[in-house]
Amino acid sequence: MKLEKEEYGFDWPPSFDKDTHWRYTHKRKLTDLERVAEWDALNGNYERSEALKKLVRKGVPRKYRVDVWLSISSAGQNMLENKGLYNNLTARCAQKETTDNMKDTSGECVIDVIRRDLLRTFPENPSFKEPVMLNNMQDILSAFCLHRPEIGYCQGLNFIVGTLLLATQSKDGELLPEECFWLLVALVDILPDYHSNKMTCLNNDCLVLNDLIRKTVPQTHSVVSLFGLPLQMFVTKWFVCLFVDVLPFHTVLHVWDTLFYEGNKILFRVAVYEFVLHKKELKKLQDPSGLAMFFRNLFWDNKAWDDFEYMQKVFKKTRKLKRKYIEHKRITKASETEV
Amino acid sequence: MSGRPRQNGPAQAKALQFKLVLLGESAVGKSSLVLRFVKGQFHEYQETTIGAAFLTQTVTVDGVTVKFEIWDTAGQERYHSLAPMYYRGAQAAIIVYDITNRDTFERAKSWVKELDRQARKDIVIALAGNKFDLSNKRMVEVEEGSAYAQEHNLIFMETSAKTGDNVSNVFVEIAKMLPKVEPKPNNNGQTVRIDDNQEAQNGGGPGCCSKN
Repeated sequence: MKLEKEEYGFDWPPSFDKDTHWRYTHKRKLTDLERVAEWDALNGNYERSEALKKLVRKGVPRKYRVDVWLSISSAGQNMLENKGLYNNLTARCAQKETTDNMKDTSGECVIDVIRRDLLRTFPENPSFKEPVMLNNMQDILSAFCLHRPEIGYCQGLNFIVGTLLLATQSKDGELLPEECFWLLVALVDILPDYHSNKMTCLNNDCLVLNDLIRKTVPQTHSVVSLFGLPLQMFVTKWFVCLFVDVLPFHTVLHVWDTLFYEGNKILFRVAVYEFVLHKKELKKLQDPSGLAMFFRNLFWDNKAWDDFEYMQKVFKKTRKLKRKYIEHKRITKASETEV
Repeated sequence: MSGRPRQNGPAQAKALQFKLVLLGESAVGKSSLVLRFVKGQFHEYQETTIGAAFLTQTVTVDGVTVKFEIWDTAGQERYHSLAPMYYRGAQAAIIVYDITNRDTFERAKSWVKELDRQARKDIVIALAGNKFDLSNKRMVEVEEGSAYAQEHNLIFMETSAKTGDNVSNVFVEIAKMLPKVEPKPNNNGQTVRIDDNQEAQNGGGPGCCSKN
């Protein structure tokens, strides 16, 4: 029997039977109740503190998410200081004289490139067939191209914007495009330059991750390197899409909670943890094809379904990963590549 | 560093394994061709591929089973710098364009040039003019695609991932062109080595792994 979609409109993993499905839903409801009570007590005060950091690590409840993301990142402040800018950008994107000059690196009008990807974003999710969702996605991505022409449109940003729109949607279905636009800007600012033209920072961070895995989970690293395939072949999407379409949707949002609060180091922690978590399976792999299949099927792995438990373990198991070390690695890797 | 992944247990059914990469402009139908070939399905709106996706499928040609290990790559120009990672050591490539969009044909030509320069010398390349079902909107004539392919010694076909026309044919034609030599154990040779950086020179590649 096919089960209904999960709370954000995505398919349940095919391996879930009715019991598992029910158990998870029930557990999530309980965890959520606890979380909501803790966040209620804050009365909207999201000033940075150790206590708040801890709460964010436990995951922000859905009803508070948009407010929390706006205040713990630069988005809220930016939106306040640049009142009307988003509307101005979208209005300009509706004018032919503006869009004629907005070219993708292939020379094609970037608006057309964006438009083509709209229905190719979460096609299995019913929300992404709704015109209002698609129009807002187009507006945000186009406005972003105009606002940040040095980045423009990078495939993958469609998934990020889709995620923002879905995560911030109110209970009665209202979308918050302006907030999402500024959250997108904030996210891109949190990241090294992953999405711009040559994607050099992306390549570099994949190399940094490779070193981190070698250092922290050497047994799995030796398996991967035995096959002679660069890790980057498998993890590009992790960085470009910030784990969207790699982890279950609600777990991605939990990762983003901490990403907004703690910065891009969290991406490495989650990535390293994936290798810790799947150590046994990885060690059993026998050929490159098995390795590739393994990464392909990660999404349907149930181990990340309980986001609360998953993230607690991420923090516990990757405790030793220091920001300074990552910064240092980034510099050394970049200089190696230059040579 | 080079090495062969260990294979334990009894020898498995013999299938020759080949690494195949799909290249081409965004939204020409690369993922759709693979989905049609591997699962026999078609989605009007196929999710944008980020980085690359991996799938495998087996075909039997003249009694020989050939397993394709397929790397389906992202098409947007800015992902171009990642492409060598996927076509390095590949024994086969399908370069896809959309017959209703001339720019994608030009892009396909530049992929052919790049593979000529950078890929294995013995790589088998197929040029696929996809979206044949939309031939009433065609901007690239079949003769043009075919002439270009002939000139560059490529397999050529117009395909439709939507209707399934010619999709498995492309793969079968490629399989026919690939060497059917049985990989030998302890052979430091040409077809079946796992080797990180050398494959371009000595012709080995990470696409297959020998077993015995």
